[in-house]
Amino acid sequence: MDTDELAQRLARLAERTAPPPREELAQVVLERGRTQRRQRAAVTSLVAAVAAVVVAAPLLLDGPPGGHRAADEHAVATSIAGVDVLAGPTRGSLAGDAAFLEAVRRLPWTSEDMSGSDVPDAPLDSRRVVFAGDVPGGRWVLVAGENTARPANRDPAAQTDLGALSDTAIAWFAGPPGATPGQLELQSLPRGVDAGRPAALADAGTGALVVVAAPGDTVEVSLRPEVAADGEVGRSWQELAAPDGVAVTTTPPVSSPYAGALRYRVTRQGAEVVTTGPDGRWNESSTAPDVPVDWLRPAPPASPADVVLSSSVVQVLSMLGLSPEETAVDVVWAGDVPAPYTRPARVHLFSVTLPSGATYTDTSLSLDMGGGAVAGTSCGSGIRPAGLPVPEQTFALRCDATDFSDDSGVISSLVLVAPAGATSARALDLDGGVLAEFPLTDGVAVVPFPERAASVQTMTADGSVLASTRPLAFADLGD
Amino acid sequence: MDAAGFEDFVSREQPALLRLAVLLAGDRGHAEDLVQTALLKTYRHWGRITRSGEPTAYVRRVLVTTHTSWRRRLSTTEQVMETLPDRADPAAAPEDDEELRSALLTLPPRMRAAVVLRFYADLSELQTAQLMGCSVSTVNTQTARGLGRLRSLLAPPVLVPEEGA
Repeated sequence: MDTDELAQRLARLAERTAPPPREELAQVVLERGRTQRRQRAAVTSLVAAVAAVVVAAPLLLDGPPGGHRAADEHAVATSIAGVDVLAGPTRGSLAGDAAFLEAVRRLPWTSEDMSGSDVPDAPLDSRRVVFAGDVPGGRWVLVAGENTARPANRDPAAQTDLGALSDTAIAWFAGPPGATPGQLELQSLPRGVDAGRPAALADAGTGALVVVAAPGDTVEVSLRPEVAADGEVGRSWQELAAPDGVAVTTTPPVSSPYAGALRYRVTRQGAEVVTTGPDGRWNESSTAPDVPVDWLRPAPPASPADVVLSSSVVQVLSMLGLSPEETAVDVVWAGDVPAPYTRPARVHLFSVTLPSGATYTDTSLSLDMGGGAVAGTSCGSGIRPAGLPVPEQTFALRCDATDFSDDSGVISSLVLVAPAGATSARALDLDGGVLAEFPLTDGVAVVPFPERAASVQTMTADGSVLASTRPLAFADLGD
Repeated sequence: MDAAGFEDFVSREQPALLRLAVLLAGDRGHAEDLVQTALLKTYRHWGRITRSGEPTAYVRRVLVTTHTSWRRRLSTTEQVMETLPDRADPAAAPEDDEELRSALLTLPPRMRAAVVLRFYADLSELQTAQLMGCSVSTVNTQTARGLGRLRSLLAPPVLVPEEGA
């Protein structure tokens, strides 16, 4: 079979087997998009609770009453094109200090670990200071200039970063309170940006947050996702005062090195411009919190790859914006799966019980690469409603182990972890057809992943079905 | 956001996306899942995408990266609301189409994507690499391996003389 014949056969196969287009698909997607947006929108009754924990946020509390101004995409005509959030005179408390502004405009856009041909270094004559001001715990500056790192291939289809094609690049600088220009350090990697899109920087250690939007924009902040007892995820939003389009505020500092749960949202003429997380200023003083965990099954023999467990737990807590004291962490299972390498990969399955009682389950697949290096990825995650205790739950994972090289082969394993009463299991396809059956040992099995398996049933010794579950997918925190 | 523009986009692009998706995913249900997931992700950033680039390229990239992600699961959190029958009508299926479909399904997702993008979508190695977010050499390797595997699977059976014949 030559490649021309393959191309013809693929075209025929695609033509013959593709599902017919659905007239209502666009409406289905639009409705789902709106539903997700509503779920992320303000839960007004929770705004007060959020405001209460923002103990050091006078600006936060100065804003109009919280609550999302619903954006009806059909009703509100918004022109985002043509709005340059980085244009205009310098904003911020130091905007009147001409000597300071000129000095920071000249600061180099490189540092020891931020340089290279793909990092913009705006020519001096193209630079302008967008924001310069004192913020809680420091002094920050945002400079914009010409994007010198635009890719040679300007085909939008080739870009992985939509800002790469922009004419504009930005760089954030930060320093201690009262810092001179010389004390300011480059904070985030300079990069091409969409000039219509707001820019923001947060400091996990001090809780400072600056959002630079366009004058007249509405800026809101949400501290973390809120997972209700039924597993639904939402966020509470609080509007910030944003004179001249710039919001400067403080959020509660977090114990983790990075404010992973923080989000800001900007709306313009009633329509959402962006909802995203700010660039992060690493909390250098942070030490990873020591999160206590309970092991529901005996731990496997120790492996260097086990270091991934604690960092994975910390990362999940950071994403959820919760402290160890607010949660309970159970390691449901840990063990090895085959990998295309000289040693197997280590899998950890852990479940975090949230304040609502719902659980956030996450996984890590890690490989001891030798020489102290450990590479890691995930076998999926999920959110489950409150109710069934974690030890009584059943989990199915698809773990795709590689050697972490681009050209690696993949060994896919099905990891099933069930209560000890389950003695066997079977993998089913989408039509309910049985693809494979296998025994469980202490409720656990690691078997080659049956191609096209869509769900797994566990059974007792007498053949009764105990539980049916799908392999973990992605937990959707609405981001 | 421009909902009307998005509806026009979906109407225009849906058939081609479904054809690409069915080759990547292997069956109708997952193809619809894949297309809907890609469109939903595209819609979330619709304003930015239409301002910054060509949405067709964006949604196609999302489709491929969603499929080839190491972490993609058979069931995602963004499920289709209904699915068509899992398989095409076997009675109407030329035998070699089914053979090719089965052979494609034996390829790992990234290898399958490389083969489909190179030989169905007729993309260059560079374009395929950019779509998959990997190097050209990776595409070359994955394509060669995939092609080799398909050739071995789709080769005409070798007739072995019976013993004593």
